Formats: sequence, structure tokens, C-alpha cells
Amino acid sequence: MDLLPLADRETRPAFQDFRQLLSFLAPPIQDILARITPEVWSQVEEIRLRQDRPLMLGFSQGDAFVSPRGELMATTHGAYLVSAADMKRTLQLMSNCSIYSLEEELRQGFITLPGGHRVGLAGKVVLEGGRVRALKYITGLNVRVARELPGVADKVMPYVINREEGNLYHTLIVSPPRGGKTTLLRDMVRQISWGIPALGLPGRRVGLVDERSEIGGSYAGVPQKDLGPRTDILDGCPKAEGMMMLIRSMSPQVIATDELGQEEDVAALEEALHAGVKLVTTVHGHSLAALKQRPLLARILDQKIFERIVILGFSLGVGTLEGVVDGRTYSALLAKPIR
Amino acid sequence: MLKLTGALLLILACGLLGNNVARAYAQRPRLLRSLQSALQHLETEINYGATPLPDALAAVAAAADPQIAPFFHRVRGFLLEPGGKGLEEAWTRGLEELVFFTVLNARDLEPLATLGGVLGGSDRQDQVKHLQLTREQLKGMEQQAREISGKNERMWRYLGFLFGAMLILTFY
Repeated sequence: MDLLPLADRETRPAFQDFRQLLSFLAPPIQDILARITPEVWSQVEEIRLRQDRPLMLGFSQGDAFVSPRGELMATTHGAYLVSAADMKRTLQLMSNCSIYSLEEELRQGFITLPGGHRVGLAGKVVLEGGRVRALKYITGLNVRVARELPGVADKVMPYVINREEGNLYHTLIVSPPRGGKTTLLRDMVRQISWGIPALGLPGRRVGLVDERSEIGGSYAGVPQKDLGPRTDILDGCPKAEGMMMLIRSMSPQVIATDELGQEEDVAALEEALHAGVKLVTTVHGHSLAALKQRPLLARILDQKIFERIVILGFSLGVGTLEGVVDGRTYSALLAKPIR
Repeated sequence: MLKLTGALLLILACGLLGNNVARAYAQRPRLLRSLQSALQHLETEINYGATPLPDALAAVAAAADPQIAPFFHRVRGFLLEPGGKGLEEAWTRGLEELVFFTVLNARDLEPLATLGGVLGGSDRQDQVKHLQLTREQLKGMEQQAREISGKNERMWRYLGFLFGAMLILTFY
């Protein structure tokens, strides 16, 4: 049986994605950003809207303000100021005029748009019993442009596959913020799910617990990213609970989650280990040494749960593979950083 | 004979005119009442279903009084129009049509007009409060309209005929 690779999705021009993304911004901002060239677009990582402050684009090298004519500028002088009406209209477009239908998302501080783009929100927090009940007077929006980079995991896969068993190693991805760990994890999930015959890995059933809707970029429960044909997604589900749900009901061979860091996550990891499921997960951190400073992670590392530790960094630019370490012996498997 | 026919026609025309005015008086409280039920429906959709506004408006339009339903239907249409300017504008345009096509006047719809500025823009609790307030205000309007209609409806129903009769007496 020959499954069709999702070729059209992989080659879908990024520019079309941007057109779709633009349609969620207030018309004046749409008009301004529509003047930016596709070359610049392809590098935009964030679009930041702050009420009464200049419109800003974020790139991996830094940020730039945008003039009303769509030119990028280093200083705020003459930049387009985002008005209260712009914010209101943008929120209406993003929420389908129904802020009330996004209460849970507002509590968490972000919403996900079709296309998998994440929008972070800032504003006045309404408390109830000391806990965040809602967010109102939303005055800051950060649109994080989601990009699929099919093939970004190519350089990692040879290190995390156990060729003798034709299976995956338990893998931990360590990366500083914005270092590309979610993008890497997404592509790993895709490749594991499709299978990599060249590396002797048959397609595996992957259970993905996507707590922050970041990996699959799900909109209304449907992942907007290609995650492979054998992937089940629990969208917006707490990690520990999600892992248990998947093990009980979906019989995954691999479980993938993002951003480990809570006590209960560790218990769930151990449970998954006993169930014979392979784990792929990520954690914030700059280096192995830094991880060992954090009690919870030091415990995980001491237990030698993970067989492969993949370290990302910036030494050769975003997404640099700084090293791959054998989690049992701590011997380096990669001679020097590659990108 | 011709005179008699003319006189009868005159009385009939004046009577119908008066009847129309009387019907308008009778209809206003009924429409204001229907608007309240429609808003109650909208509140349920928002509070219990967290239904996105375009879908909620469609559901309300499907169940509302046939004279009120087009309003919700049109607001939804304006809202989904490409290049639309947002809910407030769609709502205002919808209200203008409602005034044009029904016996309701702009003053009757003042409570609704303010609702357009806040609908969909906050969390559920807040939305429910706004909708309840609007319903309360519409209820006040309905009561006023009912009092006025009680006084005026019957008067206009007779006044038309009487005015016709008076004209005939004057010119005969």
C-alpha cells in the first residue's frame, strides 16, 4: 500500500499562508503589511500589535517597526500607530466576533488561528478567587507565525533511531526559547508517523499531547499541520493526564509532548515507560549542565529515562543542532554543531 | 348615485387609514415582546452553547418572530460580508432596516443600538449582563407602548371612519 505523501501541503507557498494570516488583522494593518515583499515575509516570525504603540515585526535577528507605507524601520519615528479600533477589529476577526467562545483560551493567554498561528494576548486580567478568570481590555497581541519546515528533523533522525530494533530511542530535546524545538518536534512526529524506510523505521502510531496547541496548531480540534497518518492528537490537554488517556485508550507506540516541567509529568513519563511506549519530549534549557541545576530535571536525568538527548542552540543560527548525547553514558554522539 | 359611491369610497378609505394606524399601535408592543424573546434565545446560545456569534444569530433568526427574524439574518449577513467593518456597523445597518420595514421606531430600538457596541466583545458573564439589561429596557419600552396602544388603538379605529363621515358632511 502506497500512502500518498502530502506533497501539495509541503510545497504550499508560504505566501498564501500569510495572505490567510493577514485576513485576521484589522483592514488598515492588512493594507500596510500587504505591501511587504514575499522575501521579507518569509523571515517574519512575529507580528506585534500594541495599542497606541508602533506596529512591529519580529525577525530572528531582531525586530523592526513598520511605517504606514509598509517600509521597515529601525526606529519608532514615523511608524504606524496601532489604534484602539484596530485592536478591537482584529480581536473580532480572530474570535469570529465571539470573545465569549474563547474563555478558556483567554484564561491561558493565547488563541490559535486557522493555519496554526498562535496569538499571545496581554491586557487587563480579571481575577476570581485569586485565579485568572478572564482577560479584558486586550491591548497587546503577538501573532507568532507558524511555519512547517518539513525535513528539519532529517539531521536528527539518524541519532534517535535504534536500527537494530527498528524502533525509536526515548528522546529529550533541549532548547532555549525560540530555538526551534517545537518545529523540530513537529517534524519528528511527522516522520515517525510516516516511517523512515531508509533508516529502518516503520511508521509508528504516535500519540501527541499538545497542551498548548503549538505542535499541531489545531483549530477546532483539527491539526493544521501535517503530523503524519498514524498520529492521534489530544489538543489542549494537560500533559500528564493526556499521556495516561492515550496509553489507556489509543495504544500509541510513541508518545510526544512539549515542554516538560511539572512534577506530575514525571510520574506520567514513568507510567509510559512501563507501558513500553517510546517517549519524545522537549524541555527549555541552554545546556545539559543547566538542566542538572533544576531539581526535577536532574531527577529525570539521574534516572536515565532518556536514551538520547538532543541539544539545540543558536551557535550557527536558529535551529542549530549543538549536540546529541547518549542519555545513559553521557557520551557525545555528534562531533561538532551542525545546522 | 355617483355621489353616494364616492361618499362610501371616501368613508372606506379613511376607515382603512385609521385602521392602519391602529394596527401599528397594536403591533409595537408585540414586536418589542418578540425582540425580548429573541434576545433571550441569543443569551442562551451565548451562555450555554458559547456558540460563535454568526451561528448564534442564524439560530435566533430561525426561531424568531417572522417580522423580527430578518434583522438577525441581515446582521449575520453584514457581519460575514468580506471587507465588513465589524459587528457594530453590521448591527447598526440591521437596525436601520428594522426601523424601515417594521412599525418600530428608532427610539424603541435605542436599547438595542447600545448592545451593538458590546455584543461578542467580552466573556460570557459580561455578555449575559448586557443582554439582560437590554431586555429589561425593552420591557420598559413594551410597557409604554402597551399603554399608548391601549389609549390610541381603539380611537384610531373609529377616528378614520368618523373623519370620512365628517368630510362627507362638510362637502355634501
